Amino acid sequence: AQDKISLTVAAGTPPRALLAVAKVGEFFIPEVNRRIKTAGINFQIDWKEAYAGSLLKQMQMLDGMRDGIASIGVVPSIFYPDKLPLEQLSFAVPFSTFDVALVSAIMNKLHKAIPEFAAQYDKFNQVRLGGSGVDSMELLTTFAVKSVDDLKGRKISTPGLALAWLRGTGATPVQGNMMEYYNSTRTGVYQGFIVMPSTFPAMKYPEVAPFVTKVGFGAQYATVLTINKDVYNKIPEAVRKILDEVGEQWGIETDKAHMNAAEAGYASLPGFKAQLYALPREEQVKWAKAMPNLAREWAQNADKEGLPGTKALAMFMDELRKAGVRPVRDWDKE
Amino acid sequence: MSDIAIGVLCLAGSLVLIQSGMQVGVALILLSFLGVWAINGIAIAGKLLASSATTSIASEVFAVIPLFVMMGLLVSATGMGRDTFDVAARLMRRLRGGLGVATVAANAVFAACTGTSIASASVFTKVAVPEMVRHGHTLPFAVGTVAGSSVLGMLIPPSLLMIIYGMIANTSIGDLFISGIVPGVLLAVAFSLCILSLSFLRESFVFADSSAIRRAHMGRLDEAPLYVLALKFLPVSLLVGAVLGGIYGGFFTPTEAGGAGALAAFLIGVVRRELSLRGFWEVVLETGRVTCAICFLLMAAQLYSQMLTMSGLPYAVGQWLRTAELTFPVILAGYLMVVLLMGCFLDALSIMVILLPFVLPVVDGFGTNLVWFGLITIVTIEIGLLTPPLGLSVFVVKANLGDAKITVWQIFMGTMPMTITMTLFLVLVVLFPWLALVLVGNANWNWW
Amino acid sequence: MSDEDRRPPGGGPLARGAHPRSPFGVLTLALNVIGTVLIIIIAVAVNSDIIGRNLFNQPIAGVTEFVGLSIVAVVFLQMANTLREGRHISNDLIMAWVGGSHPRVALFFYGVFHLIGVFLMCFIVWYVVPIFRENYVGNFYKGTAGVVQIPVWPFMLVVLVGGTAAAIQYLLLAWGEFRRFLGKKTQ
Ligand code: NA
Ligand code: NA
Repeated sequence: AQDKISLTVAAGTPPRALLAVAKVGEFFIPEVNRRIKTAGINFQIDWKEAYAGSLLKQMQMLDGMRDGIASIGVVPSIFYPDKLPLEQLSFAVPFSTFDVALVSAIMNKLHKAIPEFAAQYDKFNQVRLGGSGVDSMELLTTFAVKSVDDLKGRKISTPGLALAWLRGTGATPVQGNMMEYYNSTRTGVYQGFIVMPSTFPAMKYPEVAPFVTKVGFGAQYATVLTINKDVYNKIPEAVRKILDEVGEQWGIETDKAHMNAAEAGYASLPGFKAQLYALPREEQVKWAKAMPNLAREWAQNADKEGLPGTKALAMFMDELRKAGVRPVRDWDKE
Repeated sequence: MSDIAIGVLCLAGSLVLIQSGMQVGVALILLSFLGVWAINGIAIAGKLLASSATTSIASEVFAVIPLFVMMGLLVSATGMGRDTFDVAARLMRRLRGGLGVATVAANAVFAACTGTSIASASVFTKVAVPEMVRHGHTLPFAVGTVAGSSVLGMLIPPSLLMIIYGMIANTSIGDLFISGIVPGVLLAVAFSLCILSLSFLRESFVFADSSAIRRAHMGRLDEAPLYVLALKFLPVSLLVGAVLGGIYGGFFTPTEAGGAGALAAFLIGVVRRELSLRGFWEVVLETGRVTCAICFLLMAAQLYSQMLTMSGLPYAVGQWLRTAELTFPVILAGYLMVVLLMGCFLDALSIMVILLPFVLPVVDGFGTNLVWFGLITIVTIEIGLLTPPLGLSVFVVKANLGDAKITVWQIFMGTMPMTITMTLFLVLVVLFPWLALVLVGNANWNWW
Repeated sequence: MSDEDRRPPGGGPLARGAHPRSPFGVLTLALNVIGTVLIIIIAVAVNSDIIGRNLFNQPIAGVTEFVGLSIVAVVFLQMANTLREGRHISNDLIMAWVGGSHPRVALFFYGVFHLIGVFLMCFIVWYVVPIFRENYVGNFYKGTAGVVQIPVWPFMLVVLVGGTAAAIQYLLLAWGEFRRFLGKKTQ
């Protein structure tokens, strides 16, 4: 039997910019090595790391992993709404929970319960080892936001997926990205943007948009770790099991790191002389009601494609409620 | 043969192939294809080739290239460029090499509206080169000045390279932009001094005509009354004002500025009745060819860097760096050398993407100021825009020139004085981090 | 300026006196025109977004995705014509030197270089076919579901057409070089 394999790990993002990538080098690789050694398995992995798009760009990850250009890859599932439609679920269910670990855990449960989830990756000749989310996404503005009404006529920038969260609010959505937020807000191209708190210290966003509103969009499932199926099948079963377990653990570690980073982000606010305001529940309800039923729309679209959208949505919401979350809007029951 | 050896071979292969007369894009794609084939088999080579051809330039960042190219072509097609240089020539007429200085100054102003050196090189090849030649300068000097001063486009904010560095290093892009202002202005001054001294010390390099003919040209300018000059300067001021005002007034992002600038140049041309429908069509056709040549090259360069990554060569170098226990000055010097060397073969984007993920943790461990480190990285990478065999600014000038009378090699030679100036300037910024950090509010940080 | 003056090193059948109005030349020109129109559309899209956003609080969704896909299409649409005009960037330090003393050797090598172009373009086209099929069958799109969805397959189709045209153009260029190498004059 083969007792040595060379695995190339790729990511389209640099480790410093995405905790999910950082945790591959800091946690996943050493932990897999450690467990193989502890288990006394005669198998050695020769790791090669290629991040920041040096081997595969963000939009090449899914196809490139299928073709075997890399063996293990950090796939930003949020950027593949067309190829990984079921993985977009959390974005269709805003105002759920701030607990990113809970969101990831529910998604892991869905993966185990509904075969169509794994089938998405099967199509691209991959096996999903684990999934992770990002800490909540919050609204940073140049003006105070106490209610959804304050957004009327204001230009707010968001990444593509979160554009839908501004539907019905009266705000003008401007598509943007993390790299533009700072300068474009300073010059006034828009008056605010939606971003993760963990990015505050490095990107200094609150300098230009000092009103930070905890709207409650909640944590989002965003990044998965996958392995090329041919490679996976070549690996001895004992090692495969380790990869599966450490893959899931990678998601948990990433989520934990995101929670810590978010805390550090909020802690940095006084240094920027920025103020934090959490929307009270009745204002959250008002915002959520202003939106069309995003979750229902999403589920019906998935159903049309022959995917279990409605079923996944119901299960997602049930799991939330089971965990004690009181959803701001019962998207699945309207 | 080991994968790393394949990587080294492909690196060496590019040295020959890029000079051979094969199209640079074809040479890079061929080497990437052969390299990936040797490492991973022909099927993966084909798939990576197709995947990169369809995705590597598929983003807004590259989509604005034709818009900046079009803006440059419109500026020259509507006579705005010619008029600007008449004015500059008049103002600088008593200065030897004054037009070269005017090109640098105009480039510095334009740099404040554009994020890429490609745009600067495109615009000023059309605007400055014909006028400098008309006023008695040699063609190599004219194109060299344009290619050289185009680097200001990514040093003076806004800057695409700074955005990418900020993304990789997780550093404030606002700080990076501000850190480029003082060095940018300083480099413009250094370029001007270089041109002025050349016009005295190496007259034959700078001027094609005898000084008598040149004086006659300038004399013609002397006769024009001042208000005529002011009128001539008005359209281009309007254009620069519209672009700068648009960016800093919050109407559009620096990326979108190319589109807005092209529209403004088009409108100015129509109002001045200097742009016919046919003229406009010619401009857009030419835009397409220039865009195609530049983007094909960018696509090939990214594929080439992916192949190098696949060989494991950069990873091996990074690993070695991490374990070698070197002191900071040694690492810094070694890093800058490697970037300079890579700059000979790779495009700016690829160098950052390949090198930074391995180097940043190492320098971060020394408590390095990452804004300053970003700035010196960008200056060093920009030197690579001007060095053979693969110098993107030089190639862009060549693509925009569309003139077989000057070879790429001659442009490299014409740029040489600017390249040397820039290297000396790099040493200055490395030794005095203050230059980059004074406006960021971190003026006391120093590494030595 | 005569055509011969414009002749860029190692390329450009126009400069070698090929018919600008040969059927294939017309085809490359047609693709070029489509690409040119697409550039104008990119410019209009970017400006409409700016104006819509600032004056009417109504940005145009999907401009980012549209222009990103379009630039790929533009490059492939212009490829054959750019080749034909000899405008791709090359650096002929070695062949200029070789051609000085052994012009035939240089011609032979230029022919080989263009054949390599044929080979690589064919490879790109061959491997883009499955990408096209996958996007067509899977209805893959760029954008945001529920806001704007731009199908990818038309752009991949353009890559196939443009890539094929470029392969043919490289073949014609290689043919021209080899004919000259064998001593027959073109036209
Ligand atoms: Na700039
Ligand atoms: Na170079």
